[in-house]
Amino acid sequence: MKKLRNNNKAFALVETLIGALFVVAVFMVLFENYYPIVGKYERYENYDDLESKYIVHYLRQMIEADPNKSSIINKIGSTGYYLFGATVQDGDITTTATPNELCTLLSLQGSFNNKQYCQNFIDEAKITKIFLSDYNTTTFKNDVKKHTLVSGSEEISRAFELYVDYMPTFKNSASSKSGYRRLIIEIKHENNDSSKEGTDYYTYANIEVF
Amino acid sequence: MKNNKQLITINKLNNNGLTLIELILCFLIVSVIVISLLNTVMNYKNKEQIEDLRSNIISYKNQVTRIIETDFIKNDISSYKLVSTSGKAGESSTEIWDITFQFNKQFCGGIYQKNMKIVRGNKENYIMYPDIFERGGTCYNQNVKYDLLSTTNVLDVDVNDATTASGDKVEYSDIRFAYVYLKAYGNIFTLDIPIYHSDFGTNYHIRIISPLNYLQSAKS
Repeated sequence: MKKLRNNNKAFALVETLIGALFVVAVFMVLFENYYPIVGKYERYENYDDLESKYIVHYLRQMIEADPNKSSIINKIGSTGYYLFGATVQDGDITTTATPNELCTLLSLQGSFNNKQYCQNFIDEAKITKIFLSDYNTTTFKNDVKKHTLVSGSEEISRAFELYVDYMPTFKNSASSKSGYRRLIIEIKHENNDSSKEGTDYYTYANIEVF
Repeated sequence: MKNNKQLITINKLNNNGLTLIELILCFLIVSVIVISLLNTVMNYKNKEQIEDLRSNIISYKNQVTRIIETDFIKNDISSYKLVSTSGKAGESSTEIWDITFQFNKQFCGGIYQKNMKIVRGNKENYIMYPDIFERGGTCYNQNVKYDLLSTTNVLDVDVNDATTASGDKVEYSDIRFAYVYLKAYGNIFTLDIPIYHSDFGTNYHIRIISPLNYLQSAKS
C-alpha cells in the first residue's frame, strides 16, 4: 500500500489567524504613535502664526523706537528674563497686574505718545502675557518647565508651557547675538461661536529684540 | 487485486483544495475585517478633505494678511477712511466695503494711497487690493482680486435676510466671509474679517491690527 503524500505547502487556519493577529498588533503600535503626532501638529497651528508674528513685531517696534529702551531691557537683570505684569502675592492678597506695565515704562515726548500707542495696542490685540528674555532662552525655558518663575507667583498654563518647550533655545547662535533679547507674547482669542462657549484659545509668538 | 485498484485510486486523489467549511470561515473573517475598516477608511477620507480645506483657508488668509501688512509696515499707514458700504449680503446680492488707506511713504509713481474693496455675499466673496510695483524703471499699478474660492454650494439658513421666514434655507458657498469689522481704537487700526465654514465656524480670521502714523510720530 502506497503511503499517502501529504502536501505541506499551505498554511493551516490557526497559523493564518496567528499571523493576522501579529499584523494587527503591529498596526496598533503604529497608530498609538501616530495620534500624538497629529495632536502636536494641531497645536502648532497656534504657534508663531502670521497674525501673532505681526503683533509681536509691532510691540518690538514700540520698544526699539522708545528713548527708554535701555531701562526696559535692563529689567531682565541677572534672572535672564522678565514678565511684564507679574502677579504679586502679598499674604492672602493676589494682585494681577496686566502686561500694560510695559506701556508705563515707555515714554511720552511731545506729540509722540508711545505709552498710549502701547496701551491701545495691547488692549486691541488682547495680549495677555509679555516676557522679555535673554537671547539664549535656556534659563527661561527651565524655569517655565519647573514652574519656578522668578517674577512673582505667576501661574503658568499648560498651553504656555508647551509653547515654551517647543521654542528653540537659540543657544547656538547666542554668542553672535550679544546685546540681543527675545520678546515672547501670548494673545487671547475669544471664540465667538456660540455653540462653543468658553473655548477661548491662545496663540503665541516670539521675536528677537535688538 | 480489487484492493490494489482502490489504493491506486486513493493515491490519485490530491489534497490541494479547501473544504467548503474552511472557505466559508475565511470569507467570514475577511468580511468582518473589511467592514470594521470601512468606517475608519471613510473617516480618514473625510478628514483628508477637511484638512485640505483648512490648508486652503489658512493659505488664503495668510496671503491677504501678508500683502496688506507689508504695505502698512513699509509705507507707514497714516490713516484710513471707510468710503462707503453698499448692498446687503444675500442670495443674489453682495455687500461691498470701500476703504481707502493713506500712507506716509509713497509707493512708486508718487502714490500715497490705496483703495481696498471687500465684497461679501452668499456666493461671491473676495478682496480687491492694488499691487503697485516697479519693474524695468516703469511703475505698475494693478488691482488684484483675492477670491475666496468655494468648493461647493450648500444650503444654509439665510442669516442675512430678515424677510425670509426663520429656518428658510438658501444657497450659499461653503466658505464665505462672515462679516467685516473695521475700527480705529484710539490710534490703532483693526480690520477683522472672519472666514466661515460649517466645519470650522469662524475660527479663521483675516485680522490686521496696526498702529496708525507710528513711524511719523516716532520721528517727530
